[in-house]
Amino acid sequence: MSVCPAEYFRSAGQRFCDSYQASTGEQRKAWLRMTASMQSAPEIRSRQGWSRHTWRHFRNGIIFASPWIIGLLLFWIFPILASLYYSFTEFNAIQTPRWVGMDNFIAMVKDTIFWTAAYNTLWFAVVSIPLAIVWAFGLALVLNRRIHGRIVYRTIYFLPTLVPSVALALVWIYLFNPATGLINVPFDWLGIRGPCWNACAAWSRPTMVLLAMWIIGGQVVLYLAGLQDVPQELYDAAAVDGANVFQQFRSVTLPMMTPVIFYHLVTSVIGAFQFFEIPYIMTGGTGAPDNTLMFYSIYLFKNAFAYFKMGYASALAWVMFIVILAITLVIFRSARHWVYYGGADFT
Amino acid sequence: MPKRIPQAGRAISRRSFLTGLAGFSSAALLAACGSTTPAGDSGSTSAPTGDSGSTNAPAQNGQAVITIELWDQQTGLAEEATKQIIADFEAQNPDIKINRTYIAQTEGTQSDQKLLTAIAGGAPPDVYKFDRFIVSQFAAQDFLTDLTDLAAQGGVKEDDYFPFAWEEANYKGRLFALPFDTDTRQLWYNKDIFKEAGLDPEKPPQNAQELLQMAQELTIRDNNDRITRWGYIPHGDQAWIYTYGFAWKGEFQDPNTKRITCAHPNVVESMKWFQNYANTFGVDNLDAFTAACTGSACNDTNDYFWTGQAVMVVSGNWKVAQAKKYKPDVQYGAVPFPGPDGPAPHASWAGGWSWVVPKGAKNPEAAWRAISYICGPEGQNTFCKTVGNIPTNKAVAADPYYSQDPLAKAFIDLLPVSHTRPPIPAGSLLWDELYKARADIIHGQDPETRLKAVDDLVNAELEKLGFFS
Repeated sequence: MSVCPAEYFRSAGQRFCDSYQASTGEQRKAWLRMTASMQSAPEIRSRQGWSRHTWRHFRNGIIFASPWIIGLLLFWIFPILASLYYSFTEFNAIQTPRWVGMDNFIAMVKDTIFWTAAYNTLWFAVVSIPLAIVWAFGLALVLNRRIHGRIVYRTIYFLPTLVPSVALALVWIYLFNPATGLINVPFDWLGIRGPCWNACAAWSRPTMVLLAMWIIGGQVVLYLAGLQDVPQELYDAAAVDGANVFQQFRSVTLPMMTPVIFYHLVTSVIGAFQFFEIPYIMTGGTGAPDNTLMFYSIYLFKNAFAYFKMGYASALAWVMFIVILAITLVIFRSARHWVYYGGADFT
Repeated sequence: MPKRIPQAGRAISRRSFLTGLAGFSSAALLAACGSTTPAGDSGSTSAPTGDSGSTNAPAQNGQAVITIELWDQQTGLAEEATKQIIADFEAQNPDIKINRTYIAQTEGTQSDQKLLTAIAGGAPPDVYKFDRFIVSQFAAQDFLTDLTDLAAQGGVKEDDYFPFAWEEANYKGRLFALPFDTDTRQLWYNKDIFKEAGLDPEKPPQNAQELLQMAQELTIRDNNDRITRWGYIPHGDQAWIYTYGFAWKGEFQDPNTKRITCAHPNVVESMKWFQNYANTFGVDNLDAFTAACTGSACNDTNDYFWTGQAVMVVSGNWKVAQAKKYKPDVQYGAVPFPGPDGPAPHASWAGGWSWVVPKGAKNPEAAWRAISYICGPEGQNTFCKTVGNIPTNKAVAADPYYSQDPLAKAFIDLLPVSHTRPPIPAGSLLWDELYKARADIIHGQDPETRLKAVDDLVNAELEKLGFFS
């Protein structure tokens, strides 16, 4: 089978590509001439410069967009650049910053709590993200079945997402208390001592993962939307070919869902690194027990606002940014091998 | 509805109007962002009525009324008392109006993020209630207004206050806060439960060994070995490393070099006792208590001591007023903490609050007048009588009112032997490090090594701040 020319595919899409393949040589030449002239047109115009009319449009556009542009510069770009500068200084937010070069970054390497916090955060990311994907995807698959009262179930699984995380954390303190919490009541019935949950070092991080699974409603909705976008024809075709449910899942559902998984993966990597409110509130900001819940963002926050080390906190923030950036880039690079956009190529 | 377009009014086209509007709004936004002065003008032009009763700084008729901003973190009785003090102050000083704002407390008393942010943003309150032991830290960071000259002008003297409180309010010989109230610490015990458990309610533990023994007799465990009643909670309420260290006659700061010495042999000894206690009752049980009481979950009526889930705790004088309020029918006692070889009244340490004028306050003079009233005899008297705390003003503390209740008197009598936390410009860091060290010691780390690490870290920080030079 002959392949479409790439530029043709981009401008016209798959449907035209099919008719291109069906066309004769004469028609093809005419099409190619047409697309070539369309593409060269803007170049000619830009070589002549913009007309007064275009300039006016441009100027008015800038003026209309200026509140946003100014906001972006002032409240995003400036603070980002300022924090980069502060990361090379010693700064308490009041006194003039003192340039210390790489000292903050060198101090980080020697700082044991930095490594503990980084380890805790990575541990949480590595364990919780795959689980979250499987769990949210699995829930969506179940909630997508034609079961009785599925709207009720969907609502129930979405509800925790509506509760502010501060309120959730406060309720969890009571629920997960190993001595008096309700969560251990069923263990008491069995006559065994339930786990110590967030209270002890052995269970604290797994407890956080468990809690993160609780508020997965938003992701379930994404997967549900994705599942409902999978064309029914594909399942019909698969059924005609004799594929059973598992084969259909493996060869139709899963590939069609990879863009959603990809999106979930990227956002949850960022989310995992910024995991803050729940451990902060559940430990009163201490990272107890035994620093196992000292997450990176908590440590950053404490340096900035409890110890007034804005310079060190900025350095911590930049290290976190670079690590997130690197991981995200790796995920994006890997996407071309496993993410399937229904035949389109976005990488 | 039919639209009528007024032809005569169309002097400008819609397009140029919108363009102009966009330009104007962006200019306004720029102006608002570029402005360094706060939007609210604190001065008002209304003249005061009536004469001032204050001798501090008499208001003259025709003078403008100044409104000052006051922030505090108080609720309940303390809030009521503060409102009363403000009303009294305003009645005496018609030229000053106080605008009080409640600031929800974050993270105990160890960090004042909202204040820091407000100072950095150039819009701090004029007056702020502040934990006294971190005054020197905030002063070293340049967050507080130097009050030395204002105090000299206003006739406020060192001699008016208890020395330890005055010392905490100073940094490098300059005054940065005025002391407010104070507190002391000893061992509280529930006499009713003592009786019920067959112990003599008039014979609380006399030394650390007895404390451990009695705690074992008083502790109740369920079928799953979980503690449902603590004889003594070794890390609850005020059972900080400071309490143990002082009880064992340890020192946290070298009086000569000013260096932090948490790894003092006696502090290490006390932590060994503590570690043994933790192991005796099970680290997982201690952890369960910590997790259950995160934040303010075990405050006030939920306090394990009031619910009867704890028979003995180290706590402060504020429990005198709480006992009357929450458990009027239960008999409680308070005695000096049982040290290694007998009662240790010196285990007590005095904390307490102060009032400060943050750096960059718009009206430092008016703010000074407000805090010198709040921390003066009248303000302290109103506050301490309402809340049940101990005044730091000597004249107020001499009031026989404070020694009427024998329990309250026992706490006041501890003041002369009470310690204070080292007044260093890294008090919050030291506090946090000791908190973490206590957790690590519970979890089996060697006390000496761990406390040495605290010393190294805090002394390095102090070195950096130029504290030793």
